[in-house]
Amino acid sequence: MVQGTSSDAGKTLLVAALCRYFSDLGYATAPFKGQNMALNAVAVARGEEISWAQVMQAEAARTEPTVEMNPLLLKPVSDTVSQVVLRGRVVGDFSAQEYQAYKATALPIVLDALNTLRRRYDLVVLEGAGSPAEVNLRSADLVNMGLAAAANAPVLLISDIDRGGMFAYVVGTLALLTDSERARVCGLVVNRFRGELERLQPGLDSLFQLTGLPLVGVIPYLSGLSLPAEDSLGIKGVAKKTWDLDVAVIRLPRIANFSDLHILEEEEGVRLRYIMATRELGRPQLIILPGTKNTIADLAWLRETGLDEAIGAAVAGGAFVLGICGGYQLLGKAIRDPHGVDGAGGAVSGLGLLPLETDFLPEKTILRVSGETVRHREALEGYKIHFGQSIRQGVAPFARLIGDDGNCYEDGACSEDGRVMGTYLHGLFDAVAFRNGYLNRVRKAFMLPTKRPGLAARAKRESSYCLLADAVRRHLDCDFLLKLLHKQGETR
Amino acid sequence: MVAKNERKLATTIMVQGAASHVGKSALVAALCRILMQDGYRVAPFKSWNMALNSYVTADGGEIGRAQGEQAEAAGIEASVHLNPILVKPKGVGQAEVIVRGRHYGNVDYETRSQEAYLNFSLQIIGESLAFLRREFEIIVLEGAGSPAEINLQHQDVANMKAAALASAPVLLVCDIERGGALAAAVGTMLLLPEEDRKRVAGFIFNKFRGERAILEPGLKIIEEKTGVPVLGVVPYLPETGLGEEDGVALECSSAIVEHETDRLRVCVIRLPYVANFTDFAALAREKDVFLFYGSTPQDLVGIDAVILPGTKNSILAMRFLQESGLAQMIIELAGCGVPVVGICGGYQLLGQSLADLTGGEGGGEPILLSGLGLLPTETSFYAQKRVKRTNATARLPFAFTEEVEGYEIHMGQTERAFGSLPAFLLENGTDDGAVSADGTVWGTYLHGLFERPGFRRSWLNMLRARRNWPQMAASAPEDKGSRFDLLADAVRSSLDMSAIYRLLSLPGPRKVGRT
Repeated sequence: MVQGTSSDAGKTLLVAALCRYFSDLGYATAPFKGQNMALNAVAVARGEEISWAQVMQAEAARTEPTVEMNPLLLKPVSDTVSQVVLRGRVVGDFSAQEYQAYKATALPIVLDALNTLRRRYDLVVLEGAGSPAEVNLRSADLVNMGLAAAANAPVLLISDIDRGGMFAYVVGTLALLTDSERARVCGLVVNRFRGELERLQPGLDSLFQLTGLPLVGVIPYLSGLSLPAEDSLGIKGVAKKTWDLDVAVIRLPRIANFSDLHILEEEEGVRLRYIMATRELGRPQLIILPGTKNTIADLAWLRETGLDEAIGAAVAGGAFVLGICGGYQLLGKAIRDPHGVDGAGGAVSGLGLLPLETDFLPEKTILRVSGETVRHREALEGYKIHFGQSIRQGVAPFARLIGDDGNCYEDGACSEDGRVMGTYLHGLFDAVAFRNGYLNRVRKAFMLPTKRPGLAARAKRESSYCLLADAVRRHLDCDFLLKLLHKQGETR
Repeated sequence: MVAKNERKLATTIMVQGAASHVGKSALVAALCRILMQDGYRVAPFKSWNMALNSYVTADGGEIGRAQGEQAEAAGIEASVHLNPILVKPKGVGQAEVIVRGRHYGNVDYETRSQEAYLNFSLQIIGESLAFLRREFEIIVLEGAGSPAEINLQHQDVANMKAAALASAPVLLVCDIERGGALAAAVGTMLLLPEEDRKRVAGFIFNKFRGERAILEPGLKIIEEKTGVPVLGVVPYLPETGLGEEDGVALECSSAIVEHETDRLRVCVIRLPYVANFTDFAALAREKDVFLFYGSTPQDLVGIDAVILPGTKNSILAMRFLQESGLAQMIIELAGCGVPVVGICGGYQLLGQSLADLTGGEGGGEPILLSGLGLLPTETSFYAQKRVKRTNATARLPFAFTEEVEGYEIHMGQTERAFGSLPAFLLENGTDDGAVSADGTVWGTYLHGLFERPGFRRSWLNMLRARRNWPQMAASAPEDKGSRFDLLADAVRSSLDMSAIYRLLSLPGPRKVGRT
């Protein structure tokens, strides 16, 4: 199991790296995170959703993502309320206090999922959350040491050295653990090191003398990874040297499932920017309305900020608009929520850019799909996660899709001239054919030269997994990792 | 009358952090303000500071920007003793060291880790501290990074060694937002040697959002484990406008947004080793200005003005401009009449040539580079550094007699071609900077000139005129004091102030309320 001395220490990527490393060695490997609080979810199979990070780690492990890899998913709805998803299905919206009480119910199900994975795979790499030393929260720990004990997993502690105080975080974490918890911690991984190792070495030596905790490795700052940090918007500090397409993403306050956009950010010639005000809109060639946890509330926000009119004016001026999931619903004429599924409920008019009406019903659609776009027959693959059913009136659908439930679906809507388009399909930019085709259609409309297709998202991620496994081989003590594995194999 | 040497020495307290970026600087500013409000003469002190933003004191010394701001919070005139050692990173392993406000030399890492250098540093720190303790009633010290970096503890003059010199009790600040704060508090205590651990008199948990009740059991355990009380849980502090201490925040504020339709678009070029970027904070606060940092030619499309800021390394900056294609773009923009401003290092870049015959800027070999060629100036670098604060009168077409106040910090001397015009007239009768024949391009060594509302507005109105927008009146001078008061209020209500007065061996506020 990988646990961190603070948030954002680098757990998610270390788990992905270990998954790929052990998979390279021929072990059937699976990632696992008992409880994940995340904004990006992915449909896995049979109408179940788990967090994006575990799907990515499963891909690194070269295995199919399943609901057992993240049996408990919390999607923040507001500062104090989260939607709780258990084994891929929505249970309901819980306040922080209600959730504390619910944890006991969830625990056996989480452990059961873990055991299923242990039967199915040679090796399960667990990921913790936050710090295991938040002693005020320990009594209800579903994520760190409680889980490690249940899985009888040795714990690797990862610590981010870039922000300073690393030694104190490590020593303090160990000091705050109980004896039995401390005994589980078998090694330390220092992450994001820049500088010369020889200057750090004396400190690492004294740390070992103080704690007896073996150092498994020092990982330098890794660059060139095509994997977004979990739930991060935008690539920090990377400015594109050249671009011809200006893409404005409306940064809705309750934005959700925006992992779609990462691949566009990396696309050659595209500059993606997130905007929250009319004065930031400018004259983009393409405006994207992403998914949202609360369509009606975000529509009110669009009206408050005046972005509704600004988007309308941009479309009148020739800009393309693409709505994904909640963004698709926003583009329509009417949104009705008689049961209060989307939030407070009610009926409102949408932006009116597509002849479309959406009704929120208590059933959630969660589906993996593949198919093609209607007009250009470009291959598509992805998933749908949404409440609400949208009915088109007199416009062509965006795509024809086959779900993993065996049914055929017409998805989305596309205006006559192709400038206004909406879809429920997440991951639509992952396939090269549509991404390149669509962006080139925008380019043609603006008299810009078309560009050659880039790499499929999958291929880009694949090279990142190779880099990560390489980092494990180069910077971590691999003999140590293998010994850990064999020791467990003997006791099992 | 009491003779100076018989005066009581100031009492002391120190703020240290369990990691970088835990919010020490703002807390020190807040404590200074609170104690000043309570009627004490108080000074901030940071023995050793690694930062790229400087503040120039009245006597022409250079100290960390944060100490200058903290002095303003304390209502005192900043002096070089507030930050006797300032280290400005210049390149891998290299740094410029400034001792009591004056350029001391470029010192590499190896030298800085030697014992003789350590003793030299401690002597300087000790003397400055002793000086301040005679002049003030309370000194609030600030540490740097974490005191528990066990690979560096022996050479760390910023934390516990300074606390020992000042006999100061230490408040340890932990950033709770990042997670693992409880571990950081306990771990720091465990890693400190016995005599240093005894100095830690309280924990402060900073950047807290959420319900305190959920945190409370954790705080209890920390107090039991360490025997050190928690003296405060501080929420997210209000915007103080305190200058950012290093380049990290600059990185975050780079949301590059284009096509602003109703504001002036001013692009500051993000040069390598950009220094003194706090120069532009006042511009960014103007309602009709959209200020952003650009690093590619595309960022400059459709802008109203370009600013080349200061840099610690003009030679590297010039190479960056050429390699990125920005040099060509800036020359083209200037050719179209877009105003270009260079400040300090940026001013040097605007000239015909940059010569570094001693190798001081680049490291080693003599270097001669062409500049952007927009101003008829030539710059040569040599080891002597010029630091001073001055009043000046603008000699720019859009602001011919506007008064400004600024400061110079630079190495290098810039010669203006015979017959060309200066940008400013300094109070000592000499002139500064240069302006192009058509007035669109100008450069100066004066930092901080945009602080004056009059000059700032004259420049902005010139940009507005180019768009046929109506002129605007200058905004009122900024009231930093009220910002510090807001900060002090927020911190006062979340700290155990009576415990802090006990640590200071003072009875409490000398007077109630503010004057």
